[in-house]
Amino acid sequence: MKLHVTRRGLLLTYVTLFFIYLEGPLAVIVLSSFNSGQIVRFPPEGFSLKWYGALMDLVRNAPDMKPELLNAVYTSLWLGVASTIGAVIAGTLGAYALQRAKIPGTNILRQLFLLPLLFPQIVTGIGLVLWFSAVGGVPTWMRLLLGHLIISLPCVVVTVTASLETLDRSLEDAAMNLGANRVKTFLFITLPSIQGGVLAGAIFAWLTSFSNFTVTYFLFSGEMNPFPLWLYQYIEYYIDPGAAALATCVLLITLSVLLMINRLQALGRVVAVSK
Amino acid sequence: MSSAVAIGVGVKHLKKHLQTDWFAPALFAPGILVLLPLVGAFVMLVRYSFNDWDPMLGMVPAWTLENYYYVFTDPAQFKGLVTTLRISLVVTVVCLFVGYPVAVAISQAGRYRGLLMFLLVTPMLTDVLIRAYGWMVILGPNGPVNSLLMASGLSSGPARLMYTELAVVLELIHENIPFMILPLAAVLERINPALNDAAMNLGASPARTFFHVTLPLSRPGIIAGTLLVFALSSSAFVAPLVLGGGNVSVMTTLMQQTMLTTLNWPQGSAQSVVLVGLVLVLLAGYGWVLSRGRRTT
Repeated sequence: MKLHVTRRGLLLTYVTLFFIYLEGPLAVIVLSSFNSGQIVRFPPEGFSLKWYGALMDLVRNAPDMKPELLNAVYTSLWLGVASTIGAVIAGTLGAYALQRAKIPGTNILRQLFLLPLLFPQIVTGIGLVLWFSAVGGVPTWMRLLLGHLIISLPCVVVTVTASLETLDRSLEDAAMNLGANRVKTFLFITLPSIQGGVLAGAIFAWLTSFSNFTVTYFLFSGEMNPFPLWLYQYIEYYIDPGAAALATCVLLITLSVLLMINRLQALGRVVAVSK
Repeated sequence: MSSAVAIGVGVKHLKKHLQTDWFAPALFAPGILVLLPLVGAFVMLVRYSFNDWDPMLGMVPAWTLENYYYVFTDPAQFKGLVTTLRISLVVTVVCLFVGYPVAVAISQAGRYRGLLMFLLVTPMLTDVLIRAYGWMVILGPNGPVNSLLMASGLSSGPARLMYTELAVVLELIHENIPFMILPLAAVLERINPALNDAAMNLGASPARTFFHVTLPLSRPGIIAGTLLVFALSSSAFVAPLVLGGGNVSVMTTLMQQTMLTTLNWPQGSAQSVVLVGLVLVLLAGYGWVLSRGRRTT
């Protein structure tokens, strides 16, 4: 019995250490953003909020090298919102059809809808470079939008499919028996029942688009520089804690978004299905 | 079953079939519209990978296997391929051994399971660039590792940890270990605890029970996690780019150089096709193991 207790204690210690390790890099960023020195240092030399002040200055008067920050955030925001709207419409309808359609080829279509998750993102990026150069004349914003639509679509498909699996289909049958047509049934019965999955998918899709680096890297151009690219260029050249302050802000946004998804649908489940 | 009922059922099915017929394709249309370019892009990648390339003329349409030959024989590309496989192997093995006890803990966590899952998944869904930046700070000359090394007297000056293969490996372990733990925990949760109790009641030591009952039963999870982590590690781009800083050449960073710097598209396409082939084979194995596991339990 005593041995059993020690074994449990050992496992508990191990798991605690593991999660300290897992969250460590994120904690290090947050802590070093409060550093009072000129360079990123851990453990920090002293506590100061000056790098958040510097961040505000960067946003307000946009001096010399870094006037692009606000533009980069705007670009990423509209890109995220636009691709989320597209992904929610295409993904919800697609997931519904995948579950209900009895036409041949549904299985191939299921693979197609999850293809962006199976492809290495760098190949998606490179492939789209070739595709756009063959099509020709596609403006940068459209390239970025299509790239982001492609990678965020499976997020919605996965969460909506998970919701549809728990949906009681007799409700739909009842509506149809009472004379509602398919469109009406979908809009007034199915959609309200799966709204949690749709919303979780939308947030998940937005997060995917907002934080995507690899596909964006191959599609961006100088005039349109989404936030992850801006951050990459910044941390390549500057070692001041300003980047840590900025990363902390993004972390806060990410964390609140993840808490939102977690309320709608168990996070573990979403990720387990998506990969 | 009487034939009248059979006909009735048949008609009902036919009716349902006709109803879905126009509905389903219409619902698929927006998604297909979005994904068609991706399929088109891949078809182009495959076609271009057989083309010729001339430094003066650029891409010349042809049907040659030369680009694939170079992926495996050109010293730089072959080295990149070997480095990719080596890094992925190390990352996968470490993830398996470090992650297994965590998966065991999650499968026994009871009401804390949700919390542990949230903690596991949060870093996974944060911007990979931000996680890489965290490792830049940790491994940098002013980071905690170096201050520990210097404080303990193991090193007189800051050791160069950034821009090394070690840095890339450390980041990739951190990035991918949840993908090892998730399938492992899923399989471990399905193991009937009565089997463990039975082994212990029959006099087996905890170690013996683990090696003869738990470990063999968790094999599908081990295989699935291993394949998934290997696939994700070999297709990672941000970690070698940011933490390797040009000193670590793997397949993905070589692809980026071939496509954007030398502009040798046929060669870059062949590299892409080889990487996709590797990843899809691994992921197909992963899917197969998981679906087989689901069927047998």
